[in-house]
Amino acid sequence: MSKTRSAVGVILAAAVLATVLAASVGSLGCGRREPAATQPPIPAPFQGQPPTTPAKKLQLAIVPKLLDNPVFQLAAEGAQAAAAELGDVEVIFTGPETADTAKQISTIENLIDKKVDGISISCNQGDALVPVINKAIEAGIPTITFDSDAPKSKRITYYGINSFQAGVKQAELLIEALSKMGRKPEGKVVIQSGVAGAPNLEERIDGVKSVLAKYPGIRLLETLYCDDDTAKAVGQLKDVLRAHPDLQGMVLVGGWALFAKAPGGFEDIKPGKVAVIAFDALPNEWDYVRQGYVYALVAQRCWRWGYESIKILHDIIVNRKTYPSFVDSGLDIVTKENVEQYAEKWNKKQFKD
Amino acid sequence: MVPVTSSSHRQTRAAFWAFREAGVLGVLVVMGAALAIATRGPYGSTFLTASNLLDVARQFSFVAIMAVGELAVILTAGIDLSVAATLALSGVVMAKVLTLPVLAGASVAARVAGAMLVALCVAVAVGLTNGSLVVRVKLPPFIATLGMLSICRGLAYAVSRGHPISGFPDIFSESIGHGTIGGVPVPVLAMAVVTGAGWFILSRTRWGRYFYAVGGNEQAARFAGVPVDRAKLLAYVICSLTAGIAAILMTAWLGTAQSTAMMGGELDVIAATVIGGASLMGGHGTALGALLGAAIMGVLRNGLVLLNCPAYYRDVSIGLVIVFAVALDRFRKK
Repeated sequence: MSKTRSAVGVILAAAVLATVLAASVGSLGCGRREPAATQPPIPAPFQGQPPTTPAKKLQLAIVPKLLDNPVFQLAAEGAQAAAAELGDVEVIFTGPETADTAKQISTIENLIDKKVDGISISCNQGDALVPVINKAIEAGIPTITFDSDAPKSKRITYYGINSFQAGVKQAELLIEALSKMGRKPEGKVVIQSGVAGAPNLEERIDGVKSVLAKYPGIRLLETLYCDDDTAKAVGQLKDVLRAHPDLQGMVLVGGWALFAKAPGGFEDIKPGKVAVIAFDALPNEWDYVRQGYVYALVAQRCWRWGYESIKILHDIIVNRKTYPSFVDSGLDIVTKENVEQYAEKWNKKQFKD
Repeated sequence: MVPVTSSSHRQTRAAFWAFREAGVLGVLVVMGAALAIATRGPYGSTFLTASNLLDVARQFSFVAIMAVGELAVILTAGIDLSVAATLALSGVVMAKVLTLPVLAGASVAARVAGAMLVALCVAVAVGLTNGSLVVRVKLPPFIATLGMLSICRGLAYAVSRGHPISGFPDIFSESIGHGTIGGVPVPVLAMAVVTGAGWFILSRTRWGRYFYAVGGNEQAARFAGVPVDRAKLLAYVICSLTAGIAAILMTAWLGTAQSTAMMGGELDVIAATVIGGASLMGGHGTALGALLGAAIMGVLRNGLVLLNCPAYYRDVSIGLVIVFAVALDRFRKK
């Protein structure tokens, strides 16, 4: 029947068109696809054997917690810089759009099936990622973590900070800020975090609490969770400032609220009314320090996450180097005194000192 | 054209539906072939390895299972936006039960079975609420299930206090989450079973025919004596039940339950159903189509990672495939 024939025709044409469309969009942004390295999988442990040079480019993957966060985009830039220096590395930067553990695991599984040569991961949930990290190691793919660790897994090393100590530092800076404002270490304090249960964030919170506990006059009201979402973070700041006009201090264990343009969540208060210590020192956050809303930023070396991840993976694969379980990236402290110097170094991309 | 009697009309329609699935199957096969060729390397095609295919199947199994349930609702010209939130709520409540210190004395098997039952009960409760809001209170399905979406997410957040819950008995994570039967992951088998059950209910049972009738022409169905209200209620319960099943499988696989599980996932589920041939106007669609729709999205996502595609283009590609499927649907209706 002509009706059926035309229906078949339409469906077949649509099927072909749909695939062509999907494939062409899919390949729109795709780079040159290098074939996988010709080396056979590296046997564990990754040490002791003489070094080898790869015949083709190494495919090293960086998997952040989520793509939509400037700290990870900076890490991607660091990774590309390392790749440019080394010359035999291709960086694959991929991950979930939002901080979704299941999607992150799926991405890593796809990378394992793709047989990449190395993976570096910032884990949404350290415990949930243990099986997939172990799967990668057992498949012969060197796997390390950065920023947020999965300590129970077989990952070779973790590049980042001691999160607990970072939290301690933040709380100490808060006490310092209060004293500089001529206030005693007492009053209401609030902590803001990102995704609940992320081990690096929980450790920072523990560090903050450990110091605050030493000051009986300080009352920790609550810990706010913004799910790594800037809009939500800004909203939470405004709400808490409105609900507690006598709030003395805030410790933001991550920079989400400050990715919005200054004054952002602080627009309803005067600078210097509340002592605020935040985390990470991305360009948007400097204005908060310059304008006096934030006393200090405890900055991770985000660019180095990517740079060192590539260097470490390359070292493991090519030179069979061994690494301890923890490589400390160190922290920078940014205050009004040194914010311009920090900004200048940033703009000149001088991250390597 | 031959004058149409009711049985040849049904035959033509059955042949038409078969063609519809052939279209979706065709797209999937062509995509698979294209990927197999594009991912060829010194070790063979990375797409076509058993481990990759099984991984992909497991990755889209959760969406596929829920898409079969969502199909029941979409067939009745309704929609259920609360499926992902129901999954999160079921998962979180089940996790709480599994880790309750009070029950530590009971045997592991009893605890696991009890927790799974609780997950399904929570899901069914949500389904009954959705159905009642649509049928008794006469709310538009979009509004009713949108409200339930917020309620379920909120309840999941309240129950978990925002923290992921883990610490499940090993047998749960190992046998259900990471277990395989004959080399096939448990969630993939569950997907096959649910799709088979969906096909059976929709094409071989009275209630399945009622779903099509209600969506095709609700007034006519009512006059023909179809229990429209009960059919709709059943559809919403089936939909939420599949969310409960997916919750069990996903929580076992992840080893943790989060209130933010599958944020925005309801759109993936609806997209899978629609790509698979369901019409949002109701009355058309098959369970196999829903599975194939989920497969297409899963294969596309997997393929883009295998092809080194920047992650930013992933959602663009999936959006294009959805738009295309709906355009095709409208075209076919002409």
